[in-house]
Amino acid sequence: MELNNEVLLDIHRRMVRIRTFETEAGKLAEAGKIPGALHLYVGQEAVASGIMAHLSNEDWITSTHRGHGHLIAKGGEFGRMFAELFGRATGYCKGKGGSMHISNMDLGMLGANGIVGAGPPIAVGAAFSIKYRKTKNVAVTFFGDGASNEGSFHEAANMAALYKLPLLFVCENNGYGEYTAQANHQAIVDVADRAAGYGMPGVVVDGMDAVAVYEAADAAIARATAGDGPSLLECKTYRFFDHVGVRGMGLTYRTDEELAEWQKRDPIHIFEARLAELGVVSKEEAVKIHEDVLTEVQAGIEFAESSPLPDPATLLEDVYA
Amino acid sequence: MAEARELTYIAAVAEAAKTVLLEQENAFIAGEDVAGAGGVFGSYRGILEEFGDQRIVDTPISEEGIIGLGVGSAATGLRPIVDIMFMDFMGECMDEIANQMAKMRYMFGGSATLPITVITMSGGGMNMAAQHSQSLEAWICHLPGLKVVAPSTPYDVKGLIISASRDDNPVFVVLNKLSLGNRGPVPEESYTIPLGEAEVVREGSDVSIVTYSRMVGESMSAANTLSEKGIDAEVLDLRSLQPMDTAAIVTSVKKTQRVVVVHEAVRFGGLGGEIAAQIQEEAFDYLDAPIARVGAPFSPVPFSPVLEQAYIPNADRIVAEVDKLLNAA
Amino acid sequence: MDIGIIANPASGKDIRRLTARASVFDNQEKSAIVRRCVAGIEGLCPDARIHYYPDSHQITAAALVGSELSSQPIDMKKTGTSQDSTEAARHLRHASVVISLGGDGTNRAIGKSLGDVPLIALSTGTNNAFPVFCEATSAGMAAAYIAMGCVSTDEVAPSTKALHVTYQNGDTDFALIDVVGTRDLFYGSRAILDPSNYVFAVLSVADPSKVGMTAIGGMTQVVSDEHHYGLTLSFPQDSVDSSKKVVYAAVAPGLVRPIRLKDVGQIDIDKPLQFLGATMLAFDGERERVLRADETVTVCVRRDGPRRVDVKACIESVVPSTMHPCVGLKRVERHAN
Repeated sequence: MELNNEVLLDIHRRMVRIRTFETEAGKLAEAGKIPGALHLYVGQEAVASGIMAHLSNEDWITSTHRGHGHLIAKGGEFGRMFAELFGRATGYCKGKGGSMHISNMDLGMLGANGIVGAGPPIAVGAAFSIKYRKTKNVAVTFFGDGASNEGSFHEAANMAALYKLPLLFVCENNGYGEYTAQANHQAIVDVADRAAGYGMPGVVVDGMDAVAVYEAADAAIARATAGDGPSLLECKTYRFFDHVGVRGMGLTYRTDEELAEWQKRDPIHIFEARLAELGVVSKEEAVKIHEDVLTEVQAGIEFAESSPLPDPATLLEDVYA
Repeated sequence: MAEARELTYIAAVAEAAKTVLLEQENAFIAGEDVAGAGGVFGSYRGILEEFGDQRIVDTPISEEGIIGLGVGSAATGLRPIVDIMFMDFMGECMDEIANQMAKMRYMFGGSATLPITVITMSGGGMNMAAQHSQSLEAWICHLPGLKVVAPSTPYDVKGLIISASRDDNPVFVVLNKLSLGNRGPVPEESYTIPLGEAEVVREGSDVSIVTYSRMVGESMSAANTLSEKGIDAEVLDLRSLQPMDTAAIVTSVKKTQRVVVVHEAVRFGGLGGEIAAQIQEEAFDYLDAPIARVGAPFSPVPFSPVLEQAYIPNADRIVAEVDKLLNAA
Repeated sequence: MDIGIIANPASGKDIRRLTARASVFDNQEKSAIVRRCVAGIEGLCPDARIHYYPDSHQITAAALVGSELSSQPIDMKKTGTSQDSTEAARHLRHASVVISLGGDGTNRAIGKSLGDVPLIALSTGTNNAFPVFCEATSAGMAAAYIAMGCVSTDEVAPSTKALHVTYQNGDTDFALIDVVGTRDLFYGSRAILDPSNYVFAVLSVADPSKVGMTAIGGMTQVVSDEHHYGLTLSFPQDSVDSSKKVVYAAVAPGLVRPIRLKDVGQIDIDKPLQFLGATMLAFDGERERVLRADETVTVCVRRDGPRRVDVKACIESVVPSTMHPCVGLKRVERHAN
């Protein structure tokens, strides 16, 4: 897939949409306006955007507890997303799922997931479905370094390789399983090393560089759709906010210096700097894009706030088909 | 009229599976040893040869992966039948069952549809000890979003599997190991049994025995013994455990005014407690005696045949419980 | 008897495992290779002191567990980039010999600062035109012989050629095997991928039995380290231009492609040439420097690359004297004490 200006703008827009949505959602959460727990995606935008730039609504993804970014990059609408976070009837899940289960089947998004590591086996099923129907689509399962220690990941990796499924395992290695540093939760540094044990290639990708992610996804999708089976892309990234919320619980499990070091490689800043050099998006145009997205986010918040709460009479709806 | 054709309980599984594959182009079967081996008990014999490896798929020994395969493929438009060889192995995949399969539709506000049939096997009596003999249906009946059936006869096996596969929800078909060789009439054509409908398998007036799965047979034996003593027992086969046919239970209780609930599962926390609670909620004034329960004692299933025989409920214990109930009245 | 070890944890993991059929080099395997090197050193030279790059994956640290050799990590600040290999090599300029684990990219980073210390380059990378495939135990033994002064490094570790780049703004850069100008606009996944983006290439060696740009050049003309020149290639920028030469070469591991060439020429040692027309400069297979479209770069081949040890020649050179106290008996004497 050629990296033309249209694609570059598309990736940029996806990243800005995620950043703006998550930043505003974080403010609302810290102001006590959103019930429950929010796991925000700020810092990791290049991963979702670089992958999703390749996908259509017929390609399926499974997400994680940190799932807003994946849904936004897959085409989620701000209004219905905020409505879900606010627990409104107009939310993508009618207020029954919330942040941790936000989903949209029409967009091919099989849900954020509150259970670490639950997504990969489901993605195996989605990829099986694609293979069964013989279409040229793919499934993508996002998971973290922490989830790579769950048995579910290993069962899924084995099955996907065994059946040569059109599936991308995308590990977003942000260095922490919740609050535990990677060095304290696994004896390896590259989750990609695990791929070889299942008979699939594993590669390490700079997860702060949207083009690096985009290129890796392109190669993995080409393999998948050619019938060569799954691949594991380990994207080295970092979340700029806490595990939960923005400042979160105030735990001292990582240093300000480490955060500052990663923020120097802010995926949006480095991408915008290069787009400006290339004359694809000037600094002024970038500011305008951010402003336009913010306006759209604010409209989404207004939509959510003015949306009706779910009628308690709907409590028992949707348990069964 | 010609004699009705008879099949074994296990052969009814294969016939139902073939029927489903013929009727539904998006249906496939996946599980451990299902394709090449035809199922560890022969449940899927001949299907690979007839339908090919697209429609019946051997999986690794990866229960969480198997259920995930079911959830993901169902959510994206297929109609999987996944086999969890023994329900004891649900421990390996309980997250995908409890947190994914059961809840996905609800969590997604009704946008996901999961037409999954899970075929699994329960029960003791084959000296397979504590990890291959359990009756854990209460675990899955406790999970909103799932349906659970437990056929007692070859006829019900076929009808309930076909019904399960046509239902747009995840349905567990809990088979029973010791019933695999039981024979019974099974029509050759496709037919269904409505999920959630119990069946009165013996009419009676003195006491209701509410039961399911292999304990239906034990209850029928008990009823015959009781009949020799002049006690007329009604036997109600629930067939479907979730949803449960509470109306049928209540109707029977109102008629006989005495009830024994029988299951092979451990008594404490078993479905018998739920059934008893529903009866006292709906028909308390009709009861002439406390609700009795027959179930396994609070212990793992033992290995030694002598111990296992002492453990599993049987017709004698049902008779004894009925006697106690009637004497108490 | 100071021996350096630099194992690059990032080698052998880029997307050429997807775009081509490159091996996945997991870090446990790299650690096992270092362990065998250490065994080779320890078996001959128990007095050797190991100075190693303290990689974040603990490849070398883990390999040294259980070894009685004196060892210490290099005291250096790490960045998590290829600069770490360069920085580690700078600290090893006092060593008798350095062992590296990586591909061309790793050895390029090391070569920037190692000076004339003999380098035993073990291949754990993707494109491995510079490093050698050999048993790690033998590599360790060769390192021991060099450290003990049993072999002539002039004979077994001749200098290689290197490519020196000067930008218009005066910045300089360095490559071992190839400098490739491409039409890429982003560093992206670093590896150079699309042959249709090639503009020009300058090769220090052109070896058709290897993979990458050196193989493409090598299919037109073999150029080894002994030759006093390198090779220049230019590629047609117009896809309808059919008058050009086509070679079939392994552009990456497991990937043989027809490559259309416009011109092939030689570049003499110490005679700089200017190149124009690329937007990205790749060194030894990896995109490293963005160029303006109108920016010229100057490339010069010099014979000042790392002194690469020929492990086979090194060990064979001591065979006549293995019974000499310097070599075979030294170890025995120490134990007798």
